[in-house]
Parts: sequence; C-alpha cells; structure tokens
Amino acid sequence: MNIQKLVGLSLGMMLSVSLVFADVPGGCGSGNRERTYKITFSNISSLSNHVLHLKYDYDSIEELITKDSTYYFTQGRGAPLPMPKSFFALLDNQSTDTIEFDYADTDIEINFSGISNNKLQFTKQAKDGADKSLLGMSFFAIVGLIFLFLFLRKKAPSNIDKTRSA
Amino acid sequence: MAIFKYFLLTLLLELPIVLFAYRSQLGKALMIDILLNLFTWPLITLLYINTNTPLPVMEMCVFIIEGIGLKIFLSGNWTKAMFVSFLANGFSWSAGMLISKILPN
Repeated sequence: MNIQKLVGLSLGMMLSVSLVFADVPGGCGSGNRERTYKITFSNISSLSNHVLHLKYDYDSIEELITKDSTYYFTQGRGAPLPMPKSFFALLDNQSTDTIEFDYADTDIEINFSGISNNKLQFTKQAKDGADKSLLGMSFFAIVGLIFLFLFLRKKAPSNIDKTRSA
Repeated sequence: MAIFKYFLLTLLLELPIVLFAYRSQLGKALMIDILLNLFTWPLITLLYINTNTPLPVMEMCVFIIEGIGLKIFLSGNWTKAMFVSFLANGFSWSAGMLISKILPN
C-alpha cells in the first residue's frame, strides 16, 4: 500500500470516528457541537468558612467549589448536558442567597468579595483575558516563523530554496 | 492558566513523531514544530471555545498548515511533510478524545 492510499484510508477512518460521536452528549468529538461557555469563580477565599455550591439543571447535580476555578460547559444538541443553573454558599446548613445564572451569562468571571447579611457579595464581568493571551501566543509564533524563514534564507539561500524545490 | 497544560500535552504527544521523522535535523525540527504548534494551538483553541466550527474541520486545517510549515523549513518532500503532520495531529486528537472520554468532567 503506498503512502497516498494510507493517508486516504486514515482520513476516511478519522471522519468515520467523528460521525460515530454525532449524537453523544455535547456532540463530543464531532462537528455536531454547540458553543463552549466558561465561568470563572475567583477570590473564593473571601467567603471564609462558607462553602460555595454550584447547582446544575437536570439531575440536580451540586458541585462544591473550594478554590478559584474556571469551568467550561458545552451545550449538546443530542442528549442534554447538565448546565450551571445557580450558586450559593453554605455554612452549618445555613444558606446564603441563591444567585441564578442568566442565559446571557457566558464567558464571565465572578469575583467574590465576601458575605454581608447572608448575601453573597461579588462582581460579575465579561472575561476575555485568556483569548488575548492565546492570540498573543499565536502572533509571537508567526513572527518567530517569519523571522526564522528570513534568517535561514539569508544564511543559506540554497537551503530553503532547495527544500522548496524538492 | 490551566488551559495551557493542554498545549504542553499536545507538544508531548506530537513532538516525538515529528522528531523521529526528521531525526537527521533534530534541533531544527524541534524548534520548527514548537513554533508551528505555538501558532496553530491557540487559534484552534480560540475557535473551539468561541465558535461552532466543527472540530474535524479545524484539525484538518491544522494538519495542512503544519504540513506546509514542515515542508518549507525542513528537508523532505511534500508527501513526507503532510504524512508526518497528519500522523502527529491525528495522534494528539485521538489521545485528546480518549482522555475526555475516560476522565470524569
């Protein structure tokens, strides 16, 4: 079997695998995928002894958040995936107020500042810091590649030209 | 940030394949593959998080871009560059899918 046939066969197998995952929760691994949301909880330590609870829809799942964390959620077109519904803090079975997420609450950072009169004190802001870092990384790499290309070409013009014509 | 550990994992999976294929130009291959991954990984991550672009389409674009990069910078023909890139990216994608199935959310 020559190399072109091998690449073709592998490509076909890869696509078949992705189709198999077409209707699993979240459409994981396939093209049948919804947007991923991220929610960051920061300054959890300001809640002192209270434990933060994140509540999901479906299955009534509750997750305890004990340290600053970022969560990624993907909505599914197939079987529904649990999505975050609300959060509250608990101390000795006494709960603070419960904060419901809005549908617009996507890619947000919730920065806690404490608890006052049994109410969670926090600020909520849109978060795009990671996006900027990622773009910066990519930009740095492309500049590096261009620089390297020019440097190698200047150093040994025949080397890159020879490679390109091979 | 926690998200960057996935970049290191990608490198860990892809580098050995590229370095083995281009073992006669080890140093250059190492530098080029790291830079190529530094270029493609953030872009695919941004697109994955912020858009509905199907993952197989993004992976195919990445394998083509990295294949072109390998061909431009390293000695070898187009078939070798594309095959090595396909193998490396296919391996890291498959491993990623497997890990996401095995590990709890």
